[in-house]
Amino acid sequence: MERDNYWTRLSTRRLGRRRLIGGASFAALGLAAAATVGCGDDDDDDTSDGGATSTGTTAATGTSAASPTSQAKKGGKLVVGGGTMLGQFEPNASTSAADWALLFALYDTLFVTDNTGAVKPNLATSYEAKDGQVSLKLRSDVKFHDGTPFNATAVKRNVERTLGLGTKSRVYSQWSQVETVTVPDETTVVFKLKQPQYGPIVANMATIAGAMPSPDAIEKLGQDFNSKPVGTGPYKIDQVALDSRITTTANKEYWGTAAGKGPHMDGIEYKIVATGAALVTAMQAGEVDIIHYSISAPAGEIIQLKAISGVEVLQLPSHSFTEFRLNRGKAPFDNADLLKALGYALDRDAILAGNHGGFGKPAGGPINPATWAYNPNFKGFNLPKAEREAKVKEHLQKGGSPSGFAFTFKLAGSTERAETIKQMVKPYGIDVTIEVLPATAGTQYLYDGDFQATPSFTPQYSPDPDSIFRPNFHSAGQFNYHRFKSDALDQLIDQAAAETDQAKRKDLYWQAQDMIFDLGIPRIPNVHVDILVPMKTKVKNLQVGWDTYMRVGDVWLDG
Amino acid sequence: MTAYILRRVLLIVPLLLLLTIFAFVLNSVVPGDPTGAILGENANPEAKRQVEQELGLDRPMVVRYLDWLGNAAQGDFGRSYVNRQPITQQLQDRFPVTLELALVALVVATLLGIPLGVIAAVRPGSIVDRLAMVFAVAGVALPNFFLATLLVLFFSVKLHWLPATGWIPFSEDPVEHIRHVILPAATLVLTPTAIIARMMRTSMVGVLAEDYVRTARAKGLRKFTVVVRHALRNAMIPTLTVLGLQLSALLGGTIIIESVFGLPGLGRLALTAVTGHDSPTIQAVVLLIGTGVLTISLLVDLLYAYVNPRIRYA
Repeated sequence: MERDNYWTRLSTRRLGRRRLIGGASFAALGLAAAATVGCGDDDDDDTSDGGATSTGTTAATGTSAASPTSQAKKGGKLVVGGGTMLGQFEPNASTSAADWALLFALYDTLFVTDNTGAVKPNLATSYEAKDGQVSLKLRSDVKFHDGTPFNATAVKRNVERTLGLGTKSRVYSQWSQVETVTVPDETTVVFKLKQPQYGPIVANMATIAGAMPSPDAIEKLGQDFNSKPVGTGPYKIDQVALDSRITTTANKEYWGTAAGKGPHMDGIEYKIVATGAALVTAMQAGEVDIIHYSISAPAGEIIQLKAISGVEVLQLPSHSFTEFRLNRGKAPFDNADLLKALGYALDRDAILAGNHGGFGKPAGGPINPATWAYNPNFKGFNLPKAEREAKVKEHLQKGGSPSGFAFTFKLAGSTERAETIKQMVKPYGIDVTIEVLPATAGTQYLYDGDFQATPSFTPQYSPDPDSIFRPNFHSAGQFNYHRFKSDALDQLIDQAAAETDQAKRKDLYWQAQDMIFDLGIPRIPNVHVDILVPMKTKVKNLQVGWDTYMRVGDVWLDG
Repeated sequence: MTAYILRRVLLIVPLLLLLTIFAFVLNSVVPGDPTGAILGENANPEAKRQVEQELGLDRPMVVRYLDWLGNAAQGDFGRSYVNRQPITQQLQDRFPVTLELALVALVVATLLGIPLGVIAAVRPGSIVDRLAMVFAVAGVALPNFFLATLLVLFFSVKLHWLPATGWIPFSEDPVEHIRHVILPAATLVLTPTAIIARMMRTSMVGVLAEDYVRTARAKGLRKFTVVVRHALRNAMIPTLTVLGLQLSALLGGTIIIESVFGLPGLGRLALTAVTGHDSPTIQAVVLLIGTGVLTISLLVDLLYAYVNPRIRYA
């Protein structure tokens, strides 16, 4: 339980014994379920807690302010404060992650995960993966908010809509392995895959890609669906006033209620406040119950929020890391040794303390400590100072620049981390120039290869480690604009995705991590930044996903 | 007068055209494009090309502008690139928020600023005058986001009297609506009050030195009557100009206040649109604010004639 001790709740309420035991029990459940890959329970009437299927993801930790649902008090309104929502509320298109905090209340996903990434049934009660196909058994008692039935045909229509939208949909890449969708009966849907990537695609169904809107409503409303979204989730849309507030009401006919799931509250208000100081003052003034930070919460704000009476900060490991993206097709980082010299030159503890307020863990490699594929023995760049310094000198020597080299950080936005690094690597003769682009510059310069290095952040798109490796490091990866290519690594990533045995998959990802590190990883990990959720102590049973987004279906308010 | 108004109204049209051309060109030459906001920052070039094609962004700038202009002339501003909502609907939702804030702030600023300026002018060099001018300088110098923070900390965080953020429509809850308006409006009041007071003082000091004022006093009229009935009207002309400018500034300049207080006004709409390169929304906001500013300018000119009957337009 060592990690349970590290990932604790901050401030007024510490992680309770009950929750630790609950987390351990859940881990055990996950481990047991891991053995059932491809052999899901096909009982339609199962609740989500029973008959758990798995993609092989396990290793649970305590995740939230869990309280037994039987104690749930009814009524009240939860107010969630957050930044701008763009109003793209159709998950098939789902182009704005800023909106996902709301979407997870309006829509159910086919599977669900908790912060550990363990996949459990939801709208789909089980799945079977074999012969290049994934078959799902679906619940038969679910209706969309507009009264139309949720069934296999609805799943097929949604997935085909996403495939039709192609890369215009942000979730397209998560369904792009699907060749055809067939519906043998109304509770069974079969996905024929282009390649046997079982684990990743099932895990994707637990992300926003697996959220199910009403196809009839999409067809009927067209673009207006964005302001009148219709799902099957525990809350229904009430009013949409962008840049002000979005209100939802409880879905009285929610299928999960019979299983004791909620919704317990009358509704949720998403209060859209400009991020930063305004959110902090809103919490200080008692106007919001929870603050949602979609990426990483600024440490300064968290420290302020911790000081508020009646407010606690939920701290969980995230499945993402801050990094520097390097152009492997351009000097100086076409030279793997100079890349490694830079990687070793970083003092990650100092970055963690100085730039992230200590909320996270130093990142030696890309696999997060929260995931089942984590290798505790892999240190990567994260070595003790003396060893790192020796490595820097060794790689500068090997790279043909013993006295150092120069490069430019190109970025749009905050220069804080770049400035930190600039000073940090100077003693090694590494000279950094910072070129700041306009905030509106976008990322075209990355795709054009018009950069040497840029500080950024790698999110994990699904709870499966494939979503770290494939998009970023596979030669056909959607975000591999580093000009990085390795046939051997591609093969390893594909092999891991096709494998259904968790132990074998883990071993393959460990190999992939070693390999990419040796080849010169084009995203130099800095810090695994924690998910931080400031909330009032009256908020109970909040689940925060591995993706930082809250699952509010079971939340209730104590007072 | 009618001919004058007609001429001014006709002049508004080319000015608005120029304004929209300028905004369109500016938005087109700024680095980046709306595909980032639509597809997410990590979208690949293929997806971007598809979206550009769908939105018609692959067409020449002139064609796109003329296309937009043709639709706008028929009252169709299209849909937002980013949230796909009808822009006309968004303007209808947002403009009243900004307009209400601006009008409340201007009315309060006028009610405070004019008396303050007059009192200071009546006793130039006195302690009242000096205090009024210190306030005027401080009011101009103090950034309104700083004042907003102070007000929020005191009235919302410490005393819990007023909400720190958000907006409740009047139709939903009139009392809550007023409570939500107080702090942002109070923040917006300071600068125009200071500017109006300063302008009023300067103008009034000049008018009070005029012969006709001395004559009025010599006739035995009470000082109050002389100041209010004779001097004030003449001294109002420059202040009217300032009032018009302040209203224009408030209409177009509430972005920061709307962000601090989380208000769904035109300023935040513009900010979101600019960061998302949402050209149709930017154009619509520019057109609306531009029309507002030019209309205010016309109304102020017409008010000159009302305040001072010697002014005649032909």
